[in-house]
Amino acid sequence: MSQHLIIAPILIPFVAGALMLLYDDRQRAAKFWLSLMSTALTLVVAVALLLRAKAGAAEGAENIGFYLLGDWAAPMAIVLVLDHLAAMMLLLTSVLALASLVYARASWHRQGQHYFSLFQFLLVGLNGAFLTGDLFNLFVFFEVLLAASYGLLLHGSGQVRVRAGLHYIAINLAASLLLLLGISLIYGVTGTLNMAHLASMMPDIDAANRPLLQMGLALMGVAFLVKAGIWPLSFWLPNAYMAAAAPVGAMFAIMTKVGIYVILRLTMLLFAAGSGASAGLGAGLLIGLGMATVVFGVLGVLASQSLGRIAAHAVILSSGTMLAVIGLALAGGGEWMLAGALHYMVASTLAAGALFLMVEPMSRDDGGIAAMLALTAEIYGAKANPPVEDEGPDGPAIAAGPALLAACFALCLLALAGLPPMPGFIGKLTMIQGVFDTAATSPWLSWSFVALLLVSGFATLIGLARIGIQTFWANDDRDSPVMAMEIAPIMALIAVLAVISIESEAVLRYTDRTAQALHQTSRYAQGVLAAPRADEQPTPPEDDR
Amino acid sequence: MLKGTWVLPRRALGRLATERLQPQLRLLVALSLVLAIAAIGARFPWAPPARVTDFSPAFALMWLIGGACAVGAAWQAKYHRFAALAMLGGAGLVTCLTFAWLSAPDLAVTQLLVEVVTTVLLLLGLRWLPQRRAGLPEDNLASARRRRIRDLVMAVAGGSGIALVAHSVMTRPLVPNVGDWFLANAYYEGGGTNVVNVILVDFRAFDTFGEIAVLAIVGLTVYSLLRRFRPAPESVDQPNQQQATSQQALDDYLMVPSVIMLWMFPVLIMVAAYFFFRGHDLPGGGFAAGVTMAIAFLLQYLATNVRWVEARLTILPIRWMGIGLLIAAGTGMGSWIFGYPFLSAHARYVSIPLIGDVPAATAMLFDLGVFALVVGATVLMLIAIAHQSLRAARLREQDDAAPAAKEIR
Amino acid sequence: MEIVLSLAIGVLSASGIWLILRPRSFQVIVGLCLLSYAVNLFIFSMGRLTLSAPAIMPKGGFVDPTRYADPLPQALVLTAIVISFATTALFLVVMIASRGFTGTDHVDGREREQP
Repeated sequence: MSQHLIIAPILIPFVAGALMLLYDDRQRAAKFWLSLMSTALTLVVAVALLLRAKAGAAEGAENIGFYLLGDWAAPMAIVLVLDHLAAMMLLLTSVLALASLVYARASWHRQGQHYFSLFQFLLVGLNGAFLTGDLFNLFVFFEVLLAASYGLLLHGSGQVRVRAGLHYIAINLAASLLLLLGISLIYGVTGTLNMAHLASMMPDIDAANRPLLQMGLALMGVAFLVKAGIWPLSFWLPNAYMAAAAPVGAMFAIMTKVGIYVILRLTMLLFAAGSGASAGLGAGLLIGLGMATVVFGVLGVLASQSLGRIAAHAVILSSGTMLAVIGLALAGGGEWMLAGALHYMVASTLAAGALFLMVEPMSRDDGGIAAMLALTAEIYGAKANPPVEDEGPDGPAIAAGPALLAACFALCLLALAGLPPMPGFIGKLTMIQGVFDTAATSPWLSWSFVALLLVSGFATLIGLARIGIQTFWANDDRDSPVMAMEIAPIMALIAVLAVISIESEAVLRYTDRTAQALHQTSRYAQGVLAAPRADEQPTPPEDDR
Repeated sequence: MLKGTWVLPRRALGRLATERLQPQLRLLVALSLVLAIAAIGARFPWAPPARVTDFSPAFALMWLIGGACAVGAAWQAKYHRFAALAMLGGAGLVTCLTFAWLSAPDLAVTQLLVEVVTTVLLLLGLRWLPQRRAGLPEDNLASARRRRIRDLVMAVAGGSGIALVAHSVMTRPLVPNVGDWFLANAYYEGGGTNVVNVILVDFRAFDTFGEIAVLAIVGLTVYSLLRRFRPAPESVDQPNQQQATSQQALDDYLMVPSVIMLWMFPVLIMVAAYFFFRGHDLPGGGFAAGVTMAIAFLLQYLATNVRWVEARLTILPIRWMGIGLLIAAGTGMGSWIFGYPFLSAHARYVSIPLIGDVPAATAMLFDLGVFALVVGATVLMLIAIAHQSLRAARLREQDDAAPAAKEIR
Repeated sequence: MEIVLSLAIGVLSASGIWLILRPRSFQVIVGLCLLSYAVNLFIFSMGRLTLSAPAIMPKGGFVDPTRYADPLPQALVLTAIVISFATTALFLVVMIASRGFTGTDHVDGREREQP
């Protein structure tokens, strides 16, 4: 059975989501427990897969797992690929999902129908996108995750959400069409959809076909830049993320990372040093767009007055940083820098997720989301709005809630700003080390990148501290209740961050292995093409290094 | 300090960012154009046409109409929505004929069915948009004109770019591709002669697996969103044609068509079954069958009314969807028992009395899951939108009698 | 045939791009439909054009792949048709809801302010 473990992160939520459709919508408790079981099981599987990827590397054996769907040989049909990077992303997703799910139990799921099913399908889409090794299948899973995110964004309805949703859907539909154009153009000139097959073909593409292939990749790239929230294609993001329910916002923190993941995967596979005339293509563009996004994120963080908006801009900041690093890595920036960046990505995603979860408890004094919905009702008349079944959050409130919340907020702030002792610091430090170690980038570029990193940390500190002071000190005379169901997942995420910080050496070792594996393009490509069918003996991979 | 860290960034953001949709889409189009041109490099890779099929005047004439429809739809979409919708349908129909012409019967069937359902959906949706007969005053401003000219330039640039690339690839010699392997192996390995269907339910069934998840998600979203939606106040009034005729007169007027539509029900179910069973060998398949079945249900609604149908026919679309997804996943996992990966199929022919040899691949079972899901999701969406009219009618009644507000199921 | 089909793709996509840049939500939805026709034809054309040779195989015997239409783009188009149908339906409903909440069919939920 263990060989089927790779597909489990897709199938477990799929089956759970489908099963929940058979329940009546009122059986919310049953649905919640089913979701919880499914998400927890996915987390266990993700841990097992991560250990497998790590163990394979330790023994010096093949550290990439393959799964041939339908038992068809690799370049023809669809293959799932599990390597260091995919395993890491799966684990990150499941940790965030578990926290968001428990949080949603407090009150959010009651605002509309089928919350838990949509949530499970979002996991299907995310995990599928991380695992698949086929371009068109990637498109399909992107659509799964986008469709689920449309549903979750609109969950609870209301004017603000519908308006943000309209923009979000329109832009993503246009981007999906671009993605389709790009993928089919690649098929038209190369005759394959398999990423590994494409990577192995890159050096020998016909000179007449190469420009068209690059154009296909550029169109795909634009689509992924939209999804990663890169300036100037990210203006929809703050409104959409703010309008979403808090637990959904937390999940959205990982959705931009899917775009980043795909850009990282594809550029390292297709434009790496050995790919002939296309080597290093687009590196300058990625660096430029990444840095511009960081600037945009800094401005956004400083200009925001609400926590939700700051959290959204923190997501943009982290995307921009990652994109710039990918560009630098493509230009020969070295493995150590990429290792630091991956470390930073894990920390910043978890911290941004925690920040989204804190939005509601921290702004409850102002009425929070209930006030937003009430405002809608006011403008359009009570009749124009359905009765909101808002019975307040479930579960007991805890007395120490506000204090705990303040502590979590402070730790989260440190993690996002990249200050010790939280893990964001280690990631940034490693990145800076890596940038200065390499000779591939000009000193001017290295210095400006480092300056941006420091400025972005400083800006996050200012922006968040301002909100924190307003919330925790300015009006401490009337503490609003904090529910145990809400604070527990936030504390769990902070605890995970703390563990990453304590175990930072082990984590950094893992991300370093990941970065090295990403640079070994041919191992990935040959591994996929040699993946054995169920009845065949595995063929020993040729060692090229 | 406060000014420096807050006011200035706000001002900068006001310049750098926008919250409006059109500039964002414009940026997206512009950036893709720029990057596409940059990726091509210095000059377009012209190659002498190596592969040209014979020119057919009829085909050209067909696209003359199709192109006119597309441009007409673009022209009319603002003020004459109904005309635009008809022309959109025209362009879709020509697309569908093109698929049939160029050896893609499966695509033609699917495109046609989807076209029907999309048009019905859009028609149901049109009613909720505001009336617009006269031109808006701001359309004649110089700035609006400049915007339109800029958009026209971008549209023409984008369109001609895509046309150029498509032509350039179409006339290149076919590169050795994985499609050949599918053609060679569909019958022996996949157990079906319709290669497109074998790809969908066997070779690349995982794509279909994701695709049905998308349909399910969209069905659920549409349903949940409309459950919580109240129409705009002025749309609640009865449409003109309904006001003009009383319910009795309407019944007489639509008597004959509605009887025909009622009788179509069993016929369409047969058509759906036919599409389903022959799908593995000839054009058809689970998706086409599912949409046909959904159209059969839809006709029942059109022929009578929501209350009549729901008193006689219990459709639980969400159940259908859940069962469909579970069948698809279950079929895929079944191959684990035999030690094969997810979605490995097994194929053979079984002879059934009266029908003859029927391909009985496990892929058919997967296709059955697709069928159930498509029926469920499509019917759910159509009913959810159709129910809005019912709810609007109830709102009118409530306004008249002012009874206690009641949740409508 | 190639030239006709590529012109057709060009006209469909130009109309579609023009429409998605317009301010009314109905224009955007029609534009997305036209664009998805164009993209579907584009994907289809990537397998080159073949006349009267649908990818339906004889039962047994030798198969010469060059004689048939490339089936893979067709399968991709089928998936793309279904997905774009679903997302169009969703966009339509969001459009109706937006109209219900904001009282206008402008994509930004409010009319453009007069300068």
